[in-house]
Amino acid sequence: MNLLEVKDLSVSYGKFRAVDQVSFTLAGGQTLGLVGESGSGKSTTARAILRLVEPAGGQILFGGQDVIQLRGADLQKFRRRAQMVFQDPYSSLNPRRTVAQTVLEPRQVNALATQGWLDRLLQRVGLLAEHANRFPHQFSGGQRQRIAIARALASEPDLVVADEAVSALDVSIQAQVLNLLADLQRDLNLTILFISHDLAVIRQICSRVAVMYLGQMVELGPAEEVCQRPRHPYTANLVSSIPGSSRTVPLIRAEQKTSGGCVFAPRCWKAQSVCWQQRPPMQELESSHEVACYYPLTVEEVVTV
Amino acid sequence: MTGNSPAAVALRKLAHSRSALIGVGLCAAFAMMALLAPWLAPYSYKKLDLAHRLMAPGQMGHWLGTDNLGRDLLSRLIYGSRVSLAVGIFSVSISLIVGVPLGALAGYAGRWIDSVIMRAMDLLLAFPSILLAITIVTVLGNDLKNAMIAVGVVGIPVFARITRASVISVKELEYVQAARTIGCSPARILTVHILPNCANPLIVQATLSLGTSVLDAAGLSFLGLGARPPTPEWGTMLGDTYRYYDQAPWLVIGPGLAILAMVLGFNLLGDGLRDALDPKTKEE
Repeated sequence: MNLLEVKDLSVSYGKFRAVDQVSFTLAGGQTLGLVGESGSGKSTTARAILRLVEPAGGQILFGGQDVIQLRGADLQKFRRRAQMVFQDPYSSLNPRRTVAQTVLEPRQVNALATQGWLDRLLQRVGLLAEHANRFPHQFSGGQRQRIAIARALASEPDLVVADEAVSALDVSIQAQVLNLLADLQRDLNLTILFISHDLAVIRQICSRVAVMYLGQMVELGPAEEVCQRPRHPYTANLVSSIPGSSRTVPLIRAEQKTSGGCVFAPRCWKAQSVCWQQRPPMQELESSHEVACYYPLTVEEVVTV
Repeated sequence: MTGNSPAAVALRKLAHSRSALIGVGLCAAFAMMALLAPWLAPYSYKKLDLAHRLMAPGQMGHWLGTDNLGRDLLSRLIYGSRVSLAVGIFSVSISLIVGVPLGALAGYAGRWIDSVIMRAMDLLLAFPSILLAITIVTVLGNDLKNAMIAVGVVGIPVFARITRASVISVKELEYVQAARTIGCSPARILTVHILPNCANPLIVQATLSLGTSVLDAAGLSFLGLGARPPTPEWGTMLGDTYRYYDQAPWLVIGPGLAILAMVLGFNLLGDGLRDALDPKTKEE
């Protein structure tokens, strides 16, 4: 059963199309990684799903309901079920509110009981009861992110969107927070949409991964398979950029504008004339491994890491 | 002082700044003077004594001398602190009560609401403040209450602009986005998450505005608009007695210094608050 189904989602900022006809599904209890460089539209996709920005088109089905159509009380009900952990734990917590106030607010504004929840939430994310009356400025980045995670869990959501949730943290802290998210996912049967520019991080925590480039989805498949055997030339580039990777791919040319064709064509070493003229549709190569490319890397081209 | 709330931290920082403490001292002194005026003042502020006009300081128990109608200058200055403080607090309150909601609405709602409100504020700002105040007093009628209203109205655009600018910068922060995600209503987002984080520049500006309001009101009274005799308003006292400057300079120096000290007090306090509330300055 798919908890989240995104169909042809598009988001525009003025004339600029930040997200262009992106589709994917996310089954309940799964973790999907959304990876891409900055400007690829992955954060905008997440914000559209949570109704923080208004989409220009498409559908976002959450438990079968179109999120884009929700208003008033229905939107409020949806907000309780879908939460977000933001990138920067230094700006995602209100500096004038104590940990207790921040963590319990989702329950208060949704008219849920708060009795006993403070201790439960703090314990869940590895904070101590004595932290409850402190202010954000008294915590380290990792602890702040734990507070933000506790806030996201407070309303007992089904879906948690983690938008670059570990990117601003020290590498040593990143692992702790990733482990925490993995534990929570397992214990609470959470569905997580995990956004990152770092494929190595995605690989640790996600079962499936979706790769975005300039607002479009280029590859979608099981995380391990996409990392081991990338089929889209862009993904191959991305994989080869992981430190320690032995894979090398041809150097790519400078960025240019295309209109109508594949977004990656200007940087692609395999591009043919058709790539410049028509946008490649997503097609399934193997079971649940989709690529938007006319000339996906063949098994011979793909040398395992 | 213990505690770790931002307010407690700011108060501790304030207590470590010498100029801020001078400001606190001056303001506290004027506040005490205003509260205890009937007990502090050696004479009545309005009792005429034409036999002892323009007496030099120190004569016959008049420590600061008497004015052109024989009234004790010290007593009038002490009572005057009541008028000036009331003028400052009342007019700044008007500016805040009207300016902050207008600015918050403009900054939060944006679009045409923002344009309408801020163009109206620009209109108010286009006139020199004293000219605008004179116009308002003339329209409303010449008394102290209307002078306070006038000074308050003149201050509205300043607070509206500061509030709008802070709201715009704060509303893009991630914790405001987070508040939307957890389902806070727009009213709650504005009052719980945005406005408290806009308070610092407003507190500073309100303190500094107390000083300018006192000065503006004194200016109006000096011009004969505002406080009516025998109200011991410092500006009125200057206006009534500057003609005697060569005979009795203390009549001008006294109220002048009083205005100076009160404005200085508010300004030092405002500057101190600005530093204390700035999270970038470290606590010692």
